[in-house]
Amino acid sequence: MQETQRRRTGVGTGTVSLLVIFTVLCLATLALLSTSTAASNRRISQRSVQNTIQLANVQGQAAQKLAQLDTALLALPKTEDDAQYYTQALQAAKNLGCEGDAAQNTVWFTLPITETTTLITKVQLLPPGSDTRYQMVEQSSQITGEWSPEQGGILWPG
Amino acid sequence: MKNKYSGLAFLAELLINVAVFSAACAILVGVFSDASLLAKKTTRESLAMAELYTLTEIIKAEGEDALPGAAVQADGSLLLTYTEDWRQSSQPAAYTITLQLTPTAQKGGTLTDIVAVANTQTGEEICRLQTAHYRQNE
Repeated sequence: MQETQRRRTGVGTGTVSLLVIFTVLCLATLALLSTSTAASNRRISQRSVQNTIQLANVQGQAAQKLAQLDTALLALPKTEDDAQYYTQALQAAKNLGCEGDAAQNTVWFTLPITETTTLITKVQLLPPGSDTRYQMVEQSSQITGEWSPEQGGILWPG
Repeated sequence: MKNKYSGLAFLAELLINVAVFSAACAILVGVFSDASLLAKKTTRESLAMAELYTLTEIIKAEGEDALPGAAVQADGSLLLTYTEDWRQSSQPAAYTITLQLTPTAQKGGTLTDIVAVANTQTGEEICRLQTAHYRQNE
């Protein structure tokens, strides 16, 4: 008598469950990573937006200070002596909290943007009789915070 | 008999697996859509702020006349309209930028306060930028 061996075909009882569990775990991991990446990008973007808002704000304050400087320069007594004019102009600028370089007749001031960056605005004083009182030389943000390197760590010797 | 019960067990297992998978998919689709919405919001905010800053810099450098396509509103503010990908367009806009310029005469020139606001089509404010510019009288 030949026994017909029934060959077991098809999927085992637990196989489908394992596949479903594996698929759900993969999808869940992917979903969590997507959310984490989006949240991280949002934090970076918000920081960048805040920095831009802060920079524009400080640039506005710099414009107000330039207006005060211009008013002070216009209030100086008329003189034909350029050296005397520049001396008075630099003094007027210092009275407004600006710094000056008598050799180059430049005036500058700094305004804080963040804890580690400042906006420096530098203008060149023009001789009396010019169309304008000063000319913008530079307006840029500079890093003032110190970089403190992390101690330790293992570097590849190369 | 044994075959009948094993067949029923297999069917029951399949049904449970389908139910679990459906529930998991329903939850995960929500998570994916939240991530997508967050990414879109981030992109929108970044592009809006970049455009606002660019416009304020153009105004500071060359004045408000240098803004092509800016429509002057009744209150004197400038209105610019943008498509979904932040390209300037006169078509029905996805986004708008309003520029409010307030000049104040000073002794030696004009100090102009600039307020730039980006809004969505529905009027929701995306971001706002405030700055000023001083132009000397010649």
